[in-house]
Amino acid sequence: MSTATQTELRCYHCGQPTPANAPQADGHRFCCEGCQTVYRLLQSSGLCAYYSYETTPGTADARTADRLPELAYLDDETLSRQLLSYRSAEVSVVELKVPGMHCLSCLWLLEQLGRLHPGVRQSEVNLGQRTVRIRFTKAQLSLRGLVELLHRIGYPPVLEAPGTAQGPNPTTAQRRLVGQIGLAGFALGNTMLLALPDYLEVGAVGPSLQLAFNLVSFLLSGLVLYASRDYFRQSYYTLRLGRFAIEQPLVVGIVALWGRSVYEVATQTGAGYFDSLAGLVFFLLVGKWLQQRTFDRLQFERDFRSYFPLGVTALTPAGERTMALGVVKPGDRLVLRGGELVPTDSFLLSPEATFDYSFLTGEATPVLRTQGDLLYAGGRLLAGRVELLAEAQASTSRLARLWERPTTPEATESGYTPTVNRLARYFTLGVLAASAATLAYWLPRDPSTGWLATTGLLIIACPCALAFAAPFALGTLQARFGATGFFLRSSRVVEGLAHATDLVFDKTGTLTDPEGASAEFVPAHGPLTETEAATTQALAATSAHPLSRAVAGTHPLRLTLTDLEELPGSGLSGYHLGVEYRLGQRDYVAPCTCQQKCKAVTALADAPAETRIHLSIGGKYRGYYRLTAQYLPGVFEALTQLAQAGYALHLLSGDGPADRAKLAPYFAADRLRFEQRPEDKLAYIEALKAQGKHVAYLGDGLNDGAALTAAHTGVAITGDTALFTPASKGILLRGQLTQLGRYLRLSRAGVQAVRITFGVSLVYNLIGASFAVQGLLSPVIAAVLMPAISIGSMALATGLAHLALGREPITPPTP
Amino acid sequence: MNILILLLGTSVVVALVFLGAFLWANRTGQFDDTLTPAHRILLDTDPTLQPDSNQAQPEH
Repeated sequence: MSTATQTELRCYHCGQPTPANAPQADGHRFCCEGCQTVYRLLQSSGLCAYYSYETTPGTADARTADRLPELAYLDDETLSRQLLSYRSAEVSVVELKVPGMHCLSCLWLLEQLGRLHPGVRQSEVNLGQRTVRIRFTKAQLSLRGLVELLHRIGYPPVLEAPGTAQGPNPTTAQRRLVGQIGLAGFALGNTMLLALPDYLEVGAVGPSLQLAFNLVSFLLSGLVLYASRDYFRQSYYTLRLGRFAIEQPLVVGIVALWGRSVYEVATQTGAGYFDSLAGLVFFLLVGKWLQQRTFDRLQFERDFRSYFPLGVTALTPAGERTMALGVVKPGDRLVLRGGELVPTDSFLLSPEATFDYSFLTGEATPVLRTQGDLLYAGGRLLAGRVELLAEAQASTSRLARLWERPTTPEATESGYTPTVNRLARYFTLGVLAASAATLAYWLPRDPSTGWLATTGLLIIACPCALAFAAPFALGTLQARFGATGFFLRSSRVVEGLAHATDLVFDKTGTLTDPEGASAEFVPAHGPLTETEAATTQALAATSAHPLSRAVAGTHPLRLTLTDLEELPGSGLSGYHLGVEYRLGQRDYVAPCTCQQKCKAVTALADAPAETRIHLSIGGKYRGYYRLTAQYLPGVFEALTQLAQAGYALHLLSGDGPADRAKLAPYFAADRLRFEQRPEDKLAYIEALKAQGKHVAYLGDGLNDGAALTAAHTGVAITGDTALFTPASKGILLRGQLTQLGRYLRLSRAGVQAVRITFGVSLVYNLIGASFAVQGLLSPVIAAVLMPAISIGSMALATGLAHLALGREPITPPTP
Repeated sequence: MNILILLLGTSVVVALVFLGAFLWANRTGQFDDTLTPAHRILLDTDPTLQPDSNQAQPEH
């Protein structure tokens, strides 16, 4: 009964809870107009079987199905040519990435596109890569029409020209690996068969036949070596760079086995170990394939690009509006506020502005750009509000790549933590030393056992746990974090979170919700005129700071201010018709010059119990905006829990001490600091680090960029705004802050999983090695055991991470 | 015993044919998507002929 009520109250299309006045159709309830629109469309085309393969198959993407984005640019011939993978006079073929597809119903519907529009000749889905390949008749359907159709059925595609996709084609890489596995498997099957007589009894077949068997095995081993060529290539490259890599001990093992076998066959002293060699390479490749498959899945899940809240403000004839970054096209006029990043290569339309390119170039001095200059994507506007003319198509992935790019030298491109790389080096050296010692011990006594022992040792020593544990355990967590609104630059950030001892918070925009903030003007000398109020709001609108936004309100103002300046942590200033407007801290704006104790001054004398932004116009103090902050729901409970979990909590706020009383129960007195300028915050973090604390900083990155970078783990808090904070190692949706405790516990569990996996593999290696050095371990058994530990450590690391996730469920953000 | 040499040659040749077939299939992309066909087989050939199970449910 209760379940029936629940299903009735859920959206028939996407399964979200429905509001009381939910739109309805045919007795079904919908959460929004978008879902209803999709339903109506499918209903009218007789495609309701969509709802019978899976219940509520729709995605949240359907919510905007009734509001089509601006897609006129798809009519552009050059752009559409880039997107199409084939075109003739009549037919075009396009392959679109549709992140929303996830189930049988999606597959079915997307392959029925022809029934929705006669122009679609054929559509074929690849569920694994979430792409759909569509052949359509140009005369009947344009590319724009096709994309709009997909939007209308709730499957908006991600439009990215084929050339902008990064890295080598994953399909080619996978085909290559599958081909290698096939070759190695072929060689393995045949060599095992040929080796059988030798295992049964020496001389079971005549000497001539044995020689023929050996020769065929030898020829087959050529295939095996060919199949393992990637290991040789990689270890050669890393060796030339003077580094150690996990491939090197493997290659040593392969060469040892092959050389030994060829020697035996050539001297006719035995049949060699061609079968173990083929087995070794085959299982290695299978392990690599498994690893790649799992990685691809993780990669897809943590591909935040598909749901990353990245938008830009564009200037359209209808006024300013926020649009998704991906749909920005050349010729668009964009608006940038202080603190925001240049989203794509563009020309500056405003007279001049200062940009910080330190993140791209490492050059700390901001650069001045004047009208008409070309700005490269990634620069951060220091202050003011400027207009840009987009020169290139914006690509979310390009900005995201900037963010993912390591900025610190210790973050190497290999993807392994420095600890793992160091361990790998010790491991390789240790194995080589042990092998040399084994060989030296056995050679004078029993050369045959010596070779057996050495090759066995080289093979049994498996560094795979080192290679697999961290990427799999932490990668699993990273994927789950990303799906719940906590985006990490790399899985290594999980390690940083796990080690955190001190949590430092910013207040405004981090613990408080800027959307809920309201501003009220308290005049000191008479109210503002309409123009003055409008100008002040326009000035505030040039800044991205939450307090400024509260002052700016929602008015779409188009006043021109000149000589804009923003001093982070202090305030902003600008000129309108020659009159200077200053907005900000008390000591930043012009002091009150009136001789009497005016209202503003008296109010200042008392400790202000509220957050204020002061205003002066033309050098005269005019009063202040009183801001009422609204704390995030549940944030105080979260802070209490974090304190109980043993974290030292700190709060550094740039505002006045208005909320000291409210916050005092959660922060120790000396850790609760107000009126902190950016450099104060930085100094505070540095001081903590000097005490040996492991600091995680959580802030909105607006006036605390330096602190974010300085902290061991800097997490930028963001709403659904266009703010992009490249200095951070993680980006957390504001609503998820209350679950920080869970994220931290999970991170610790992840690091624990890595340690356990290392431990298990160390025990395995020691046991294996103790057999091998005695010559008791035949290479055949070793070649079976080794892949077992590779797959075992992969499974152990992933399993432990999933176990932790099961214990600590994270609620995904509510859209 | 000499028949074994003939068998050996034959088996390797046959196996090589299969290897060639496998490599061809791999190169032409037949292993690229192993997921979708497995799902597609669950779908009805022509859904218009199937009663819409949602419509068939009795109304409350």
